[in-house]
Amino acid sequence: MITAKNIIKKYGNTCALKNISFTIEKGEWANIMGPSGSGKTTLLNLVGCLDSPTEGSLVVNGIETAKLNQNERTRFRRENIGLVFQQFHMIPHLTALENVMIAQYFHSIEDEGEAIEALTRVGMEHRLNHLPSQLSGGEQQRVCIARALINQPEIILADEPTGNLDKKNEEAVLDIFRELHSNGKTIVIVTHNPEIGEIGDMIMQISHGEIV
Amino acid sequence: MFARLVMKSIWVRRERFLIAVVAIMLAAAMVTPLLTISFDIREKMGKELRSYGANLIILPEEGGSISKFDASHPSIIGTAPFLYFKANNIEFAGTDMQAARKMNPWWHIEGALPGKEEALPGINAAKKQGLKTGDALDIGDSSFKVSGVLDTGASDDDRIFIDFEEAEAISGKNGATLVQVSVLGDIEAVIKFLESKNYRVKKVRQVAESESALLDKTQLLLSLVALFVLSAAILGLLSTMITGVLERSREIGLMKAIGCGNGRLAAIFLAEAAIIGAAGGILGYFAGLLLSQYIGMEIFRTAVSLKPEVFVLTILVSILVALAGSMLPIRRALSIEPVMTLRGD
Ligand SMILES: Nc1ncnc2c1ncn2[C@@H]1O[C@H](COP(=O)(O)OP(=O)(O)OP(=O)(O)O)[C@@H](O)[C@H]1O
Ligand SMILES: [Mg+2]
Repeated sequence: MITAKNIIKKYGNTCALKNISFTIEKGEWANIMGPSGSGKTTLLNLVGCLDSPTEGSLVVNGIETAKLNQNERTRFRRENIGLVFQQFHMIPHLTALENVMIAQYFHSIEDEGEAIEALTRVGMEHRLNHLPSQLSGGEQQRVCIARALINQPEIILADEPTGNLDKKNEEAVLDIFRELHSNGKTIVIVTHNPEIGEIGDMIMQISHGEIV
Repeated sequence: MFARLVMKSIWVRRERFLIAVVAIMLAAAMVTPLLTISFDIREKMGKELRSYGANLIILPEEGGSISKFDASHPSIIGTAPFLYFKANNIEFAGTDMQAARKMNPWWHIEGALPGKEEALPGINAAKKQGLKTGDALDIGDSSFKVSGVLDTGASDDDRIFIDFEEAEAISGKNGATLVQVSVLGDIEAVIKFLESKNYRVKKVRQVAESESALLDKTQLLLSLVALFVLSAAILGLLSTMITGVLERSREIGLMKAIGCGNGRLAAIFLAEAAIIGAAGGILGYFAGLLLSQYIGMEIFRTAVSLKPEVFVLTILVSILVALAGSMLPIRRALSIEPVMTLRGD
C-alpha cells in the first residue's frame, strides 16, 4: 500500500529525513514513534502528499507521488487519504456539519445525510450546528475524524490524534481507529503513547531522521 | 456549499468587505456619468445636431423686436418667430406652432399641437405649474386649454407655448424676440443678405459646436478622474484582499489539505471579488446617477434619462475592476503550501 525507497527530505541545510525505506501493507496499522524533532511529522506529511520528498521514491496506493506538483498532490489526497491533525484544524466560521460537508464538496458533491451519519458514528450527532469555538478539544477531534473518513479513503493518517485529549476522549478516538482497522483501512499514526504502540501491527521507531 | 462558503467567509470579514465595496463604489460613481455622457447626453445632442431644422437665429437689436421679418431670399426655406415674455412670473413663448414644429423636428409632443386659445407647456413648466392635458390655464383675462406637454430637451422645457398673436396681445409687445431661420444652400450668402438688412444673425451650428466641444472636454476630464479612481480602486482592493489572504492562510492551507484544488480555491476568491464588484457597482451606479443628473443639468441643461446599458456597463466595469484587483491575491492564495500553515501550534 505504501512503499518508500531511500527517501530524503531536506529543509534548506537541515536534513529532516535521511534515507528512509519501509513498506506498509494494505490493512496494516503502523505507528511512527520517536523523540521530538526526529522527523515523524515530516514523514507523515510525505506519505499524506502534503509535501514532496527531496529525493527518493514514494509509492502510495499504486501511484508514484514523489514527483507530483502541488495541485496533483491535492487531487491525490482527496481521493486516497484521510488526514487527522494534532491541533484539530477546523474552519472557524463553519459549523461541525459544514466542516464535514466541505470535504465532501471538495471531493465531489455534498450529501448532508451522509455527513450527519458520519458525525453520528463518532458520537457527535448532538453538536451538528456548533461552531468549532463551541466544541471541546475531544469533540473537535471527533469532527475532524468524521471529516477524514467522509470520502472513504483507503489510507488514514493521524499526527498525534490523541495528544491534546484526556483519557476518556482518547479511548473514544482509539475505538474509532480500531473499528476502521477491523474494516480493513490502512492506518498510520504518529504517537508518543506506548499504549497506542501496542495496538498497531508495526512500529517505526525514528531517531534523527532515520529508522532504527 | 459553494454559496455558503463564500457568504460565510464574507460575513466573518464584513468590515474588510465593506471597505472593498466602498472602493469599487467610488470608481463606479465616476464611471456612471462618463457612460451617461457617451450614451445619453451625446446622443441627445447629436440628435439635435443632426436634425436641426433651423440653422440660423435672427436676433433684434438690443431691447428691440423684429416686427416684420423680411425673408425674401431664395435659400431661406422656412422661418418661425418666437416671442418670449413673462407673465405671473411664468415664462411664455409665443410662436407659429406649425412652423416651429417643422423647425424643431426633435421636439416630442405628448398630446396635440395647440390651436387658438390653447397652450403647450414645456415638460418642466408643466411639472412646476402642475399642468396636464385638458387643464385650464388663466393669464390675465385670457383662458387657455392645455393641449399637451412638450419635451424639447432644452431650455424651452421651462416655457409655456401659445399662439404668436395671442402672445403679442397678452404681453403688449409687438414682434418677435427671436426668429429661427431654416436655410438650404449657401448659408454664408444668406447671412450676408440678412446682415445687410441690419439683423443680428447667429449660426445655430456654432452654438451646437461649442456644446459639442464642452461635451468632449467634460468627457475627457471625467475619463481622467475615472482612470485615477479606477486605479485607486484596483490598488485598494488588492491591498484589502492580500491582507485577507494572509489572514486566512491557515484556513486556505487547511482547505487545500482536505482536498480543495486550485480551481475551486480560485473560484471562491473570484466569487467574493465578483460580489464585491457587483455590490460596489450597484451602489456606485446610484451615486453616479446623481452626479450625472447634476452634470447634465448644470453643464448641458438637459435632464439625463435612465439608460439600461449604462447600468449594465457600470456593473460590468465594477466587476472587472474587482477581479483585476484580486488577481495577485488569488495567485498568492494558490501558492500557499498546506504543510507550512498547518505546522506549529
Ligand atoms: N518547514 C521546515 N523548515 C525547516 N525545518 C523544518 C521544517 N519542518 C520541520 N523542520 C525540521 O525537521 C525536523 C523534523 O521535524 P518534525 O516536525 O518532523 O519532527 P517531529 O518528529 O514531528 O517532532 P514532534 O514530536 O515535536 O512533533 C526538525 O528538526 C524540524 O526543526
Ligand atoms: Mg510532529
